[in-house]
Amino acid sequence: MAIAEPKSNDKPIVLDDAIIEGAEKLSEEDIARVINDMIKTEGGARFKAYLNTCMSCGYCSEACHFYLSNDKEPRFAPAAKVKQTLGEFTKKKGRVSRETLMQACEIAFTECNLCRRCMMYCPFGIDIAFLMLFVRRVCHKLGVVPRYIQDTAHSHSATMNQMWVQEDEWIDTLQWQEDEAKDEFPDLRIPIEKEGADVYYSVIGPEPKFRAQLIYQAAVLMHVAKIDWTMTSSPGWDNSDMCMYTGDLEMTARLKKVHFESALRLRNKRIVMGECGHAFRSVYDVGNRFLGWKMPPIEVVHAVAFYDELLRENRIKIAQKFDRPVTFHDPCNIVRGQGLHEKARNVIRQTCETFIEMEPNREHNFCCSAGGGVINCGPPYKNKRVESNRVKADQLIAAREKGAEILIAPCHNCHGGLEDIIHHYKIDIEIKFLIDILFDCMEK
Amino acid sequence: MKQYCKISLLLAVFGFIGIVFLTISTEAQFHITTVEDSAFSGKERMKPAVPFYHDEHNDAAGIYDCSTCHHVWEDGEKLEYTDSIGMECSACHLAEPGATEMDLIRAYHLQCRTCHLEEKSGPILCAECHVGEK
Amino acid sequence: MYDIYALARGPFAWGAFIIFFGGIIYRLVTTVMEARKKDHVVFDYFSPYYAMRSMLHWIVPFGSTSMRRQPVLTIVTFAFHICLIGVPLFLFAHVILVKESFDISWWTLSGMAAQVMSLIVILSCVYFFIRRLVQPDVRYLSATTDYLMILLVAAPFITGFWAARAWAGFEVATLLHMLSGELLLALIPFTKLSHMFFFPLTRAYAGSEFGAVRHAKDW
Repeated sequence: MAIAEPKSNDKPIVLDDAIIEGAEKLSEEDIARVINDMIKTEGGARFKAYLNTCMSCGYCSEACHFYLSNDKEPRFAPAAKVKQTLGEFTKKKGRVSRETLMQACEIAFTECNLCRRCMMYCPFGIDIAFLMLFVRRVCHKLGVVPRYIQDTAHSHSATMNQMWVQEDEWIDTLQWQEDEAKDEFPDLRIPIEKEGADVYYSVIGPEPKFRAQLIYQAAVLMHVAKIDWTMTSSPGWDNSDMCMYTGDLEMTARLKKVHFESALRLRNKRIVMGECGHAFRSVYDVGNRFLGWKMPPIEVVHAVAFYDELLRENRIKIAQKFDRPVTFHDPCNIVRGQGLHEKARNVIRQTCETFIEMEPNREHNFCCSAGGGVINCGPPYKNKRVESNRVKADQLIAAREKGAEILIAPCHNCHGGLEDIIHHYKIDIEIKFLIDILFDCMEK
Repeated sequence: MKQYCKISLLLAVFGFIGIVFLTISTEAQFHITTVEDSAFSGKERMKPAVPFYHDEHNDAAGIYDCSTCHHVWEDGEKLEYTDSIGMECSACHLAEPGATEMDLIRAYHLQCRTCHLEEKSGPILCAECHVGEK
Repeated sequence: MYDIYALARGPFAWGAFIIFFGGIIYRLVTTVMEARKKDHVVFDYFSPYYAMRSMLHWIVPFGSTSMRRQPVLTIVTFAFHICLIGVPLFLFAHVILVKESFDISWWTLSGMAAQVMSLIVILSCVYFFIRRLVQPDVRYLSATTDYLMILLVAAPFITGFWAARAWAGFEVATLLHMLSGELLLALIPFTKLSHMFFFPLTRAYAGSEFGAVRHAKDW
């Protein structure tokens, strides 16, 4: 007798031991108490309106790369993720089993990038990302969070940066990059703690840890463009925020407060941040709100907008255009997050000879499947993450077939996710940050 | 003799005319089969005209006072012992400034259905009255 | 029959309309009050211009990418909603009832148009029902109430069409028509059918966030 092959995609399989460990400590009463308390205190008008208004029409399904990449498996439809999580929570009045809770955790943390593409496909504009963050916050309060991203969140609370970078290591890194750059530009400085500087430049933790050359390039850009700028040596230099994605909004508020206040203390005119999407979301959209600021208390400029501004104002000049054909990945958090797609294209048009659009693009671009903290959930989820983004691979292959050799992605998370996709699907394309291109082409 | 002939002829002629008149008028009054009003003629109808057998209806309903239906209202009060026989409904019900056929239809509907509901007898639903093709 | 008619025409009708309008006001007021307390962002970021822009894109057929990707569903949805709202409001038989009770009236549909439009509603409901059963993702999302809702909406139109055609048993159909219509009205504010009046709210919020804060399109 033939044994029916188990349908592995029917339900999420819990892959992370921290989720299981966390859930084992909980009784059903604990779970019910926290869920109901969350719904009572934070489940406001939006929460209820979203849950009551969804007509389960299925318009959102087509928007989700998880759904499209998993052969249209129904449970990956955005509305289905809500049904499996908050739907269960509300239907059972919070009294869900540990099993359900763990599955909800899997779904909210590793099967949704909070990219908000589905919000654009819903006739009611239901914000599924908002609802998935709600689930994550429940998980956070219950102590059921994937190990890797929780470790990152711990780093944030212990060091105010994402990567357990010590204060001296940070300052060392800046000085090291300054030294390196001095070979090329003898009078280049990375000004630390400069009061009154026009620009306060902040980066994410992984830059000093893994990609110090980005700090180098940024320093050169500032130097050439003659920007009066500074970086802080104090906590606050890291603008990233994984706590926003674990649902630890209190910690998010602390992080953003430190970040804003370090710039305000130095009386800098505005914050310019490196090429990172989620950090921008945390500063521009989430953290400021949690702290009670409608808009950030100090102007925040994303790198892409900053480059565009430098080019428009002729602060930097292009010596020679980049001659290999490029394509561009629109990161959710700066495109659906702040509409920087046209500015990015302006920078590309001014710096590159051949630009090939990916389809779909701009607001409709597919997520890299790394964002929303999914890549930060670490190795246990790498395969699922990459296999669940076949549509992105198809998109890249199509761009490659049109001749694109370089993929520009102005976001750290996107870089990580796209790199994995390129390796897994064996796509012959090279990823670069926008500053890599700018650095290559500008008059120095 | 000649005179008698003349008079009787005259009487006969008058009598004949009288009988003809009487016949025509009674025919008209007592063999009504639909609810009609000249206000509706030549207009596009939403529903077929309502069949209505005047005598049979009144026999069955026991209505002997014409003013029960052929009423006359003055200053918001229905006048007793006064009827509006010989007048078309539209003569009053379309007379108000701004009145339309809707007002006339409203009058018919209220007139018939209110009574039918009170008496729990007779048609009350749309298709019970409006039968057949337009 | 006279008693049921009198109930349906009188107290039930009053009840249905009071619950319908009262329910809508209640739901809207409580939602706005709760938003004031817990979702102040809704007011902080509200932008009339972007709210309108978003609503326009989503109220015009094929005004959004999402609608263009699913053309059949979009056509059926729009035809369905237009007829669903248009027929009850502009049906001659309904307007004359209002005229009788309140002596006010307005423009009405021709009998033919009303019947065709009712058929569109009924056939759309059949389409929605089958789609829920057949399309895997929608089937997965559907709960029993989703199917019941389709029946609830179709009921007044099926019975109304029956009554209008004066088919055999139209007396029962007419009474069922009145009762099912009243039930539907009374349930709108308290079921997912409340999307009727939540649409402008959620849409306006999404439009404001996308337009005014995120400088991006949301269609």
